[in-house]
Formats: sequence, C-alpha cells, structure tokens
Amino acid sequence: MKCAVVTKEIRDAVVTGSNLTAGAAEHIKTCRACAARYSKAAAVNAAMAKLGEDVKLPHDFEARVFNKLGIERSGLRAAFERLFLQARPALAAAAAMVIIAVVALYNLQVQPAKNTMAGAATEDKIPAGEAQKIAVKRDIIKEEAAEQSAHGASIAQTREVKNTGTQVLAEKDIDTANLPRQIDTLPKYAEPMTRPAPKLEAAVIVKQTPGVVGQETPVDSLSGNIEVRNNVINPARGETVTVRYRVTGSYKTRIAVFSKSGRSVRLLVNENMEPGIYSCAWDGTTDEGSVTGAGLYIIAFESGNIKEKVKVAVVK
Amino acid sequence: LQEADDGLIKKAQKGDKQAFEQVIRIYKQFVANLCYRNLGNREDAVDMAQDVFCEIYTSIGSYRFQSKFSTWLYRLVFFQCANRIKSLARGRRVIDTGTVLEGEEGEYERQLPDTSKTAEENIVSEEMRMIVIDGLNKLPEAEKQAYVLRELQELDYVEISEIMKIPLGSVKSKLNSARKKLKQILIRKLKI
Repeated sequence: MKCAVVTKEIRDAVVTGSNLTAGAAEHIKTCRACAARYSKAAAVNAAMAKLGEDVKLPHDFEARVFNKLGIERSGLRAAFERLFLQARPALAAAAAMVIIAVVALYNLQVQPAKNTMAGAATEDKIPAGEAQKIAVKRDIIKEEAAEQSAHGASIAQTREVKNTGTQVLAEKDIDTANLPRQIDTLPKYAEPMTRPAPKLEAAVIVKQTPGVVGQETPVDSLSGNIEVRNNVINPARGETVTVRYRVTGSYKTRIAVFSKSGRSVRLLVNENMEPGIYSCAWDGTTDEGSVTGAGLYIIAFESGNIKEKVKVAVVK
Repeated sequence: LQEADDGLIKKAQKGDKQAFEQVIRIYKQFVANLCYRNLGNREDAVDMAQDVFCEIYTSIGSYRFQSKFSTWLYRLVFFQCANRIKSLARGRRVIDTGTVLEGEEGEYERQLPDTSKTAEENIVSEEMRMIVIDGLNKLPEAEKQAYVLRELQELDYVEISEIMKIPLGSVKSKLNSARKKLKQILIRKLKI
C-alpha cells in the first residue's frame, strides 16, 4: 500500500476516529513517516475523548460560589458545614481526649488482670502440700482470734477443723497463746497472698520464644505492645534485633519479618500464647536460613486485636 | 441530566438562598463539564463554572420558563466561555500541569525541562488537548457550539436545535462544516 493512500486514511480518522483498513495498519508497521502521522491522529482522538470526561469538582463548590457572591449561605446543611469548619480544632481536641480516655480505661482493665496473674504465678512457686498447710493454719488462726475476742479467753477444747482439701489438722498443733507471733512467723512465700498484688513489672515472668535466635534478657517493663532494640543490625557481625512484646490475653500471636515490598522474609513467632511479656530476636536471616540483603524491613506483630509494625534496617 | 423543577427555580428567582444552593448542586457538574469542553483546562473550568453560577444568581430572574432550564444554562455558559476565551487569547495561557505556555496564534513553546517519561507524556497530552481546544476556538461560534453539544455533550439534534434556536437542518449542516474545518485545522497544525 502506498503512503499517500495510508495518509488519506489516517487523515480521515482524525476527529472521526474511524479505523484503518488492514492494509494501512500493516503499512504503518513498516513506514516510520506514516506511523508518526498515525500516532498524531490517535493523540488528537485521545484528546477529544478526554474532553468528554467529567471534571472533578471541589467538595466545597457551593460555598465557593457563595463566597464569590459575597453572601452567606443559609439552611441546615450550610450551618452544619460552617459549624464543622469552625469547630474542627475543638472536635479534634475532643476526639484526642476520648482516645486518651479509652486507652487509659483499657490500661486500667488490663493491669488488674495481670496483677491477678502475677499473684497466681507466685502461688505456683509454693509446694502443694505446704500451701494446704498454710491455708488450714490460717483458717484456724482466724477462728481462734475470733473466738478469743468473743469470749475473752483462750479456748482449750480440741476439735477438728475441716478444710476443702483432704488434709485435716487438729487445733492442738497450734499454740493459741502466741497467735500474733505465729501470724508473723508464717513462711515468707505466703506474704503475697495477704498483701496487695505486686506490680506487673516485678511479677511477670520473662519468657523466651522457643526456636528463635536470641538471648535471655530480663524484661522489667514495656511501654507499648512491642519494643525493638537494635533496630539497625549488621548480620555479618552477629548483631540481632531484639523484639520484646506484650501478649494481653490467651491469643494466637504472630510476629513476622517482611521486606519493604511486602515479601515475607522470616516467621519469628506463630503460636497460641498466654498473657505476659515475651522476647524474641531476629538475626537477619530468612526462613531458608540465608542472610537477607541490606535494606529496610518491617516487623509485623499481631496478637488478638493488636496489630503493630516496626521498621528495622539491615546494613552490610 | 436531572432537571430542577420549576418550583425550585421560582424560589431561587425570589432570592431563596437554599433553593439557589440546590440549583448549584443539581447543575454544577453539567456546567463545569461544559466549561471544560470550551476552555480545555480543568482548573479554569472549575473557576469558570463558579463565575457562571454567580452570573446565574444575578440573572436567574430573566429565565421565563419557555425552555428547559438547562437550555437557558447552555446559552449562558457558551456566552460566558466565549468572553473568557477572548480575554485569554489576549493574555497568557496556563495548562493543567502548571506549565506556562506563551504565544500567539497557537504557536506554543514548551518551557518544561524533560524530567521523566510520564511527565513528558502528560505534557504531550496536555499540549494535544490545548491544540484541539485551539482548533475548536478557531471555528465560527455557532459551529463550535454545535460540535461541542453533539460530539462532547452528546446531545441529540433536537436538543441542539432548541438550545441554539436554529432549525434541525441547520444544526446538521453546521455540525458537518465544523467537523471538516476542525479536521483541516488539526491536520495542518500537526502536519499529519
């Protein structure tokens, strides 16, 4: 096909947007001049099509018109919009306060639960037999003290006191004359049962996630749900990122390392965990065991409803 | 196109601000699109549309309910845009990307440095649109109106005839003439 014929076809296609014949389309593939003409014609038609598109309008179009007119808008909608615009800083402050209050309430609810947990953890340390003995002694001491105050004298009767457990202790085992001293001399590990629960930081047991590279680090406190130490590491030097995290309930907890592009690099934790503060470490290796390249990585933490992400960097 | 009912227009004519706001809400997209098809620049079109509504606010009393409100609006928009184009032709032209193109008779000079392919493609597309708009603006006003209403607003011949207040046959001939002329202008301009 000759260029002149193809050019006529291309010119016909301008504005009308008509299609080229098969011969002309084939010719364009081999002739640069005709191809250039055709691309210009196509660009014109594209520009025409673009002119037919809708214009995106600003959301406050009506308000702008009224501003230009220099008149005030009326009606509920306008009043609401005006109020919202004027009160936006106050609304933002109120929203911030609500968020702070919700966070504070949440912390208040979580703290006592952990304190109870802490008390239970201390009780676990007491041998089962000893704990029973202590419980029975305490009951008897209490009963004796009550009777002393009621009758004004010490009781000489011997009786059996039944406990919820299987062991039964006779009252003769207790020197009722020295009751106050006996209370003071109870084994020390019974103290947490009678005084307020200790603070969370002191009582929570440090747990090391099994199978993950890392070292035991005493966990004294954790400000948020997740905390990263050494967020810039050089794997060649054996440096590791230490991740300390809080599990607030019996939740399935997952910690994984992702590349910046979202590729999963290493799964650090993926198991059901009990409440507590845990720690694990990442030595800059992948699931396959190879060392990752230098760059930015994201440690994603997910436990219950809590989802957090922390950035770490690997350098070489 | 959703038309405002006569009651609303009457309220707006009496100075009811809420009714006028409702009118703006109904016709804003329509007016802005028409402005864009006349001016070829989105920012200018939005600005022009606001000016058109300011004009409507002052002259809505002249609407006599003899045609559809949109028909009356078309004429107003075309008139306003024609004035804007004249004033723009005397001054500088600004395209969407913020690039300032200066010149006369459609002789544009690119002033942006080559940054990336995408940006360059955008500029080419913007330039092309401006060339098309420039070609449209070189058509006689009636032919341009017929072309915009038919090809860009996709109205039927009867509606165009009502808006332009000309017989149906004239609409067709103007449209045909506009197509031929625009094609010639663009072929010559782009050396196709």
